[in-house]
Amino acid sequence: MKAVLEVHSVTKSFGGLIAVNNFSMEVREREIVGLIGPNGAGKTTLLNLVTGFLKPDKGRIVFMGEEITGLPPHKICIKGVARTFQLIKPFPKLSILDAIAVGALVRVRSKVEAYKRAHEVIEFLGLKNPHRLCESLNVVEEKLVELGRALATNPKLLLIDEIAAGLRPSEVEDIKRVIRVIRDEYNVSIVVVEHVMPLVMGVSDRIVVMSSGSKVTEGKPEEVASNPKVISIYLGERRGRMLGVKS
Amino acid sequence: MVMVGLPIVENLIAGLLMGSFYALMAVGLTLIFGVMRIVNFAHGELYMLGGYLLYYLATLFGLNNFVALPIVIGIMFVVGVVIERTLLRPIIVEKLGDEYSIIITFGLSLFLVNFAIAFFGPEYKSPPPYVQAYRVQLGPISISGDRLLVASIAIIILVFAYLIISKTKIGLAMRAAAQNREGAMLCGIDIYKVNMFTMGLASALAGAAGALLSTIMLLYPQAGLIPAIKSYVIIALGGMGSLIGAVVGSAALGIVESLGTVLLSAAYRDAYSFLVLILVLLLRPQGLFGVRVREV
Amino acid sequence: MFKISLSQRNAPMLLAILFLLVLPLVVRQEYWIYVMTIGLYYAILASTWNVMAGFLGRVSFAHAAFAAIGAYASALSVLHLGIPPAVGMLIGMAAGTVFSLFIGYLSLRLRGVYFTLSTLAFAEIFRIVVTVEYEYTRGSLGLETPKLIEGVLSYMPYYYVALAILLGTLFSTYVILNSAFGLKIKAVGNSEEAAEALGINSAKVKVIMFMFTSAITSLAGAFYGHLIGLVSPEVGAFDQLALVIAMAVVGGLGSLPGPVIGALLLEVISEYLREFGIFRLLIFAGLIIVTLRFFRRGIYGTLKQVIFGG
Repeated sequence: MKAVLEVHSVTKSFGGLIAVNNFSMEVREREIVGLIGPNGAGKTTLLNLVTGFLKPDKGRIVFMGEEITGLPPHKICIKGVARTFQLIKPFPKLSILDAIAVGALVRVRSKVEAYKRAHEVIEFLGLKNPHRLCESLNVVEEKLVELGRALATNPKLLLIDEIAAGLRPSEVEDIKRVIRVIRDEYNVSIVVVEHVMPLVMGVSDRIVVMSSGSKVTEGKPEEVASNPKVISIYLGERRGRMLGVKS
Repeated sequence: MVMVGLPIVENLIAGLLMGSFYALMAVGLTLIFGVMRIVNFAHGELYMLGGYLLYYLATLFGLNNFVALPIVIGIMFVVGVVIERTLLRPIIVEKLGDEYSIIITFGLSLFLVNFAIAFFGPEYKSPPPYVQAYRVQLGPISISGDRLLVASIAIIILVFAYLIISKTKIGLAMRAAAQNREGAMLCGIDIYKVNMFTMGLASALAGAAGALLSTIMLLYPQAGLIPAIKSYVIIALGGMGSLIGAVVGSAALGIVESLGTVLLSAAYRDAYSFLVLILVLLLRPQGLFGVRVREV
Repeated sequence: MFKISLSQRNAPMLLAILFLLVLPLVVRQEYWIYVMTIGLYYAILASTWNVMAGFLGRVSFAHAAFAAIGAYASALSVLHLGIPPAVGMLIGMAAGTVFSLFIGYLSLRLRGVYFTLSTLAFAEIFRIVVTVEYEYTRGSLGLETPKLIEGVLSYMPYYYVALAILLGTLFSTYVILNSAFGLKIKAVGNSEEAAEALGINSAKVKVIMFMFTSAITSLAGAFYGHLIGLVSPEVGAFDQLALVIAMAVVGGLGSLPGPVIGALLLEVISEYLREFGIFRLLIFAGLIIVTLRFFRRGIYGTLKQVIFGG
């Protein structure tokens, strides 16, 4: 299976702080990769590097065999990478329909075409009353719109940044289902950055664990979940040693 | 060679002296931008108000300048707090964008200038000087002693401000908020109080600059416009949000202007700061000390 | 392509256009026709300023300067090249467009405030150059220019030229905002980062719209020069800028009719306040502050909310 995304030894620091440290990973076709790690691990920074919002100090990022390191965000989106934001960035004064149609405009030229695609996405996600303004939506709908916008760009790689934050368990289940269906229907690779374990463990084919900017380990969800090193990262070094983990 | 060099050195020193006043303005603007993330387009009018306050305290109440100055600083601090509370608080509360702060401080600037025209009168005013004019001789170089004194007061005030920012609790809160507002709020820092204090402090500094400089330069309702514009250039040059940048930039601008008038053309004196701004935008938008400025 | 139906939504707009069309024929006093022509000029400026500030969130302080560029470019080319004023107006438009490309390209890629500072710097440099290069511009005395339309004593033709430019501006702005590109504009105005993540080159969008609005502004400025017959730094002065901003804000930022309403209203009020001279701008400044603080959507937005709700 070909690699859709290759991150080669990427490093990014801010002043003296190294946020991403010689990090490498890859995402294959139709794969759902979960990216987990404690707060401050560098996950969102990594997403920003891949999507062009930040430039890496060192390393390369390759998408579909093409070098995208250092390209501006809009060019990367045009190539086929879409994302949602951890702190969502809605279009408050636009309707759901307009907001999602904006995404479609990457692929089509006319508004009519864009609206057609937007309606498809809206139906797929089950959003009701698409003429409502984005500022009037509830939390779940906001996140669905954020997803919908990204979907409308017809991406080959979708990066989802902590979408489950603040959702109830039943809503998390819904999102889990949605992500799986997105992969099946849209034929897209997905990276799920998440803190909410039930979501990321339940939906990923493979998990990558990040801590202090570096990759700690990767593997199937069950392997990672029972990996003592991973446990100690979340519980802290001391507790990890108590559990018999060698540092 | 000495004949040619002398005016240049004297101009250099004169430029540095001017730089100390610019620094009062620029540091205040930097504080506001660093902590509150907005550019205060009424900053020049705070300078102007400081000048008029000194003028009226000296002429109406017969106070000595050295007595009036702390009073001006105190009043301007309160003015800054009031402005933040009434006009700028909605920015945090309602999560407003850049345009709001730009336009509303612009409106405030317009209001204050015309207020001064209407109630203070459009004509030039001359507050009494701090000391009588005299010259100081440093070897072959002659500089204006009264300017030196007034600039020294400016520097003392700057040092006080630095101490407040680096040694006090509220100063720590300001620095925390400047680095990471959400994080600071999570640590229990009262962002409303920090903002009000920041605005008050910046306003006090600008008022002090006005109270000092208006005894050397002319005082009139629009007197704040030019220092303000130069301050914007300075913070862009120094890197917005960088205090060191503000100080270095102020000195740099003072020197560039002085040398520009001597070496190039005096008529374009005020234009040099803008040319500097354009150059900064072209070559190094983050300024000398700043961080990234790209939108995304 | 465009169905102009006499539905409830379009009626007020059509009535307003009709009103403006017949106004000079009803009010035959030259003084008021002149005032309304000036009002239309400000309406054009306020409308274009509003596109950048209200729809894209970028505040320009160079707006009056662009009007002045248009005025000076037109006046100078008419005086030195002997071309008719109408052609001069086009040259003025071109000059403004070129300068806006330069400033826009430099500063629109950066954070919002940098754009505002750049426009401020540009406006100041322009003002200084005009005052210093006395030989060409006659500094503060001003440059006398031929009127747009020779041998006509009434201001009525000028009124209709101004109205034509205004309606053209509003119409083209409406078409742009409702196109696919317009959707991109609105996206950038709502959240630039989200727009970028969705494949929109936000810098390009902003520069294009800045050039569009600056072109119209300088065209209007050139018109103004040939209306009054004198081009002086007054055209680009701080007061003019303040007036335009007040009109756009009070009328209603982020809406098409808002700035027009604001301009006509404030121009009329301005005439009545002429005796109060120094208090005029004070009042307008107060209006900016109060409107933005308490009635953010301006007259038009607030009325719309009150009448139509939501």
